[in-house]
Amino acid sequence: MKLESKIPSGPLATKWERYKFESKLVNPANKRKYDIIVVGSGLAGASAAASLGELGYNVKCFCIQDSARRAHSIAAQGGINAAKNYQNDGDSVYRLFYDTLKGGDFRSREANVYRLAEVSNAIIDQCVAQGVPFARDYGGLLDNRSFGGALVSRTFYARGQTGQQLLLGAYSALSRQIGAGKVKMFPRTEMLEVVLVDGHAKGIVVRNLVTGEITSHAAHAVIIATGGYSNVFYLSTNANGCNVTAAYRAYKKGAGFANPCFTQIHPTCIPMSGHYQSKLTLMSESLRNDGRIWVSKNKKDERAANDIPEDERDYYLERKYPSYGNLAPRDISSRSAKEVCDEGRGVGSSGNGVYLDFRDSIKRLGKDVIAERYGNLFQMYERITAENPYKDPMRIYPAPHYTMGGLWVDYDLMSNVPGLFVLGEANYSDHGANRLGASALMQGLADGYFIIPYTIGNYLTAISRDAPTVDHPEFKDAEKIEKERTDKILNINGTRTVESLHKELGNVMWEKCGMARNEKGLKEALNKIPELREEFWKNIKVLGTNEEFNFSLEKAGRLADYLEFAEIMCQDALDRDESCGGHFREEHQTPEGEAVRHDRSYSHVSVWEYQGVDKKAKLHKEALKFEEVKPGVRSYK
Amino acid sequence: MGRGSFIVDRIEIHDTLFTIHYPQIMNLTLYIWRQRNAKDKGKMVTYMADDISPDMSFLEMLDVVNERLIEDNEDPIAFDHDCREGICGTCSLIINGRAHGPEKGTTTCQLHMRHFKDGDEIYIEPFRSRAFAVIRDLVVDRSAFDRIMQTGGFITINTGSPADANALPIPKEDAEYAMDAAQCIGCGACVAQCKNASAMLFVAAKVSQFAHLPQGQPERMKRVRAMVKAMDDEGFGNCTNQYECEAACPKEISVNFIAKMNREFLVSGLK
Amino acid sequence: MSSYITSSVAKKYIMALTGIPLMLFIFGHMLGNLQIFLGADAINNYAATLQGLGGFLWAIRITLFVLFITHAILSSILYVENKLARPVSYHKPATVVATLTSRTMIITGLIIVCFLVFHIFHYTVQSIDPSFKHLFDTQGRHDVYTMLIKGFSNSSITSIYLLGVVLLGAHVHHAAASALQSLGLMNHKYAKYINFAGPLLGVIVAVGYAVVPLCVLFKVIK
Repeated sequence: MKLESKIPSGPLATKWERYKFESKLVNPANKRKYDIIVVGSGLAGASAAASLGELGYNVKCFCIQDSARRAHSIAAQGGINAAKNYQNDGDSVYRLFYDTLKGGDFRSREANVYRLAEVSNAIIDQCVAQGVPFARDYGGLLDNRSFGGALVSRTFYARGQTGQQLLLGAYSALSRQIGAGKVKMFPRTEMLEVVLVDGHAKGIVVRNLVTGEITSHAAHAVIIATGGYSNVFYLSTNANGCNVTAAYRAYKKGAGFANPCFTQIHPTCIPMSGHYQSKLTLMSESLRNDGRIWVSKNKKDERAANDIPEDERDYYLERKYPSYGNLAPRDISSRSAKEVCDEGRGVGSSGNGVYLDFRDSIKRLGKDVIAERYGNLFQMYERITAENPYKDPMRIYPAPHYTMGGLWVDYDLMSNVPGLFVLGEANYSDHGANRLGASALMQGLADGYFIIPYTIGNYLTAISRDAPTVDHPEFKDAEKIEKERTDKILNINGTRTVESLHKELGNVMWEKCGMARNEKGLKEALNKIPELREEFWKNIKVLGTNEEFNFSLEKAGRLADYLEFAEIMCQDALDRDESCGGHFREEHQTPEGEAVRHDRSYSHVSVWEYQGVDKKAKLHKEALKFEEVKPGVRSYK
Repeated sequence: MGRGSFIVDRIEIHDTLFTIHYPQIMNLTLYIWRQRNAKDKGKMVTYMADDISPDMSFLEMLDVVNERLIEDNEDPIAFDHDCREGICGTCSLIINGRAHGPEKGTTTCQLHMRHFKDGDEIYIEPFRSRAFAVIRDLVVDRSAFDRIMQTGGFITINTGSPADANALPIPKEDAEYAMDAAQCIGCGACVAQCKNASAMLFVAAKVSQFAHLPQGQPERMKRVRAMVKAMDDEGFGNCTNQYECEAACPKEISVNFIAKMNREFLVSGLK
Repeated sequence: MSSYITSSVAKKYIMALTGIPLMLFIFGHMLGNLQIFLGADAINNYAATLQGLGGFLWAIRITLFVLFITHAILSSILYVENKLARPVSYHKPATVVATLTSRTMIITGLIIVCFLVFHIFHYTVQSIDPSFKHLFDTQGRHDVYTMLIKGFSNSSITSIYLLGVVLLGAHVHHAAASALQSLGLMNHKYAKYINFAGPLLGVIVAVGYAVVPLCVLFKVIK
């Protein structure tokens, strides 16, 4: 496996400009001779498909949802970062770059992160022009709020539904291209295989989720923008349909999987309430602007929250991180919550929660102001828990939320498989070992609107313009393999339901490869996962046929991939013998419980190469070079 | 605590009164529309849902029923769902005649069983409209909405370098108005609840959002004409101003946006 | 243009634009009727003035007829279209906020058509009781006052009228505010006032029309 990052030379601040200038351009008249496949229609996929369609390429866009508008980007609540410095509080491209790099615990590529910060401003301009109704102040100018891991207000938002509004913006741009005939949309269609012809990605094999029909689509290039894999934990803040399948199948075809162990556990989610639970609901990080996080100083304190006097409350984030306080980054907040719960100071009937308290803010600002800022979140909380957060503090607990790891990509956002591009959460590129709040939306849109339209040209100009065709035997073989695989799943006729097995896998992953990891646990997980996989292929129970709408079959296919993927995740976590960002190895911590990085041995991207099921994946390393910033101890004190 | 979600017992230990809350378990009778595919005729089928916790969401209750069905070698009930936090607009269902069930401003996925009580009979049907064909059981095809959007639900702007976002101030009230309209999640509850299966609220929300922003002005007239035409071509019914749509809308989008669209369309005819 | 006129939104305009003059007529007619309380002279004089309009009266009648027919035919078309928009109905339908009057527009409308035919034959053509044709007051004007007393003294006829005008009120109950909504004359600011005033208008129509036959039947007016 060759890992060439292809970072342009020259000073950090001019790399992207220079890259754009040196790029080979595709003649506008020739663009319509190129076919491009986009898998996924979230922020990254929809913005890429729309932008490429506008440029003149023929685009086919695929999504598993019934409409492109339903991709899970829609659920992002809090906001999107940009270095506009509208607040005059000292923000700049460089500061956004630095915060993001530091937030990622110095495990991402400088050049990529800098480019992200650089294009962030254009995203806001673009979205406003599309009619995204961002929050404004009384002067009619855009409003900002603060997010974790930053000391400036650079987060643009649209109530608590920023992801929704941004996605609808991208979806409307996509809709325009569909209407114009430049993009053909395939909803309720799942990608199962990337097809390589002579080593280049030349198409995909998909299954129509309504009819079960398996078909091939050929193109000059394939873009995967299928999101993250948090659902490997079964319970996460992701939508039920989110899955690793497209990324994992690409991995099986030779694409490197980078840093799979870098998963983000979001600190503010509603705690689990029962065994039947199907998902965990996120409460936006923006709540930490006005909410204070605390637990009782006493263990097993069974008093009601409001009965616990001030001097017996431990505002542990404010205590431990006085300068960032409740706005400490996500990994740190999550881990601190776990710590106090492990000490037996957790709240709620199960003890798996901490308080997020608005009492003081309500006193200071009044209930109306709080309602205006967070009304819909409070309502959502009340709907789920039947508790009133205006009166009693919210109970929150960390939950799997985002995956920084993903398919390895170079500066062009192309994987090591030529012609296979990966955008958004599905790639690994910008967030290192931990993502800061409001940066996922930024990255998805940066990749789709402003990066891929430039970088894909460099690839396309280097390959033949001949119309791609599905006549290659590679397509027929891939279709055959998929049909056989489906038949195999349907013919097992065992006793185990897909849900129950997924839950069991999720439990193993959460316990052994969740917020804190250690060698012993990871090894146990690595023993357990193949057993679960065996259980799947011997004993899974999927009813019905392939030739119909069969959601059990869809889920089974995705679970089968998770059951393989979980292994490289644990493998990676075991191999990375340091703590950094969301990856916390209990063996590597300071006496106060802070993460300890080992830059000398682990300042690299771990890229895994598929070797076959039941065979250990092969590790490759891309060394991270820091020319501009010297990695320091990541302190938020 | 939610109504009916807990049985409260009071017990005395050593002269101290303790209050014990424990979840009440419910047994429900479900009448669910089953239809194997678009060609199948379909029928209502009765299921017993026992031992349902009031803290479950409605979809989690169906998950539990489905797990039991699979164990009994019966095809599970197909229903649309995804984010399960009330924002993606995938979930649907007519529950006892009401789109997304009885709670105001709530999607089915956010509806919790504490709003039902032990012994309840619940009718669960798909969203019904000529424009929404049933795919299977409770799953319907809402792509008509996408097609309407493709005719005009956008502002024509290519990706590039538009003016600075703050170059054009927009009064806060206007931005808030646009946001009120933009909250639509495209679930189709408005169509499903409307006596006439009309899609006016969905279309009006999009038309109003853009008509109220400076960016949407150039195409304002063209947009409303195109979107209304597309809506009519899809076979939705007519609006009779009964406002069932607003009542069913999980995002509580106001019917005043329909008036706004009517106004826009009227002006477009005069120009 | 043809696609504009046949669009669902334009059909709403036509319903509103035909309905509003009809409602104005209903109101005017009601005020005319109420002159009975001012005595025989007032109402007979009013009737004579109307008759004196001659060709203009016919112009009004024909306009109203065209509006009425358009309104009735278009509503029937809309009704059929709306039924077709949901080919499979719900097993357990439910209504959240739609008022009874809004849900029965087609029924009240059809009954109003029948009632109107009856009403025209009764008081305008005067063929149901031909003796109405021969009633004149001392000044030689058509004695509308006596005709009304005679007409509404019959309890079965009065019942038909009561039914008719209550349903007319019910129709207006939904129609008034609805017409403004259809024409886009509602907004966030005024909606709540309009939605209050519209139904009130319906009640006023029902009461304003019912009060005359009731007063005659119960001999308040003799």
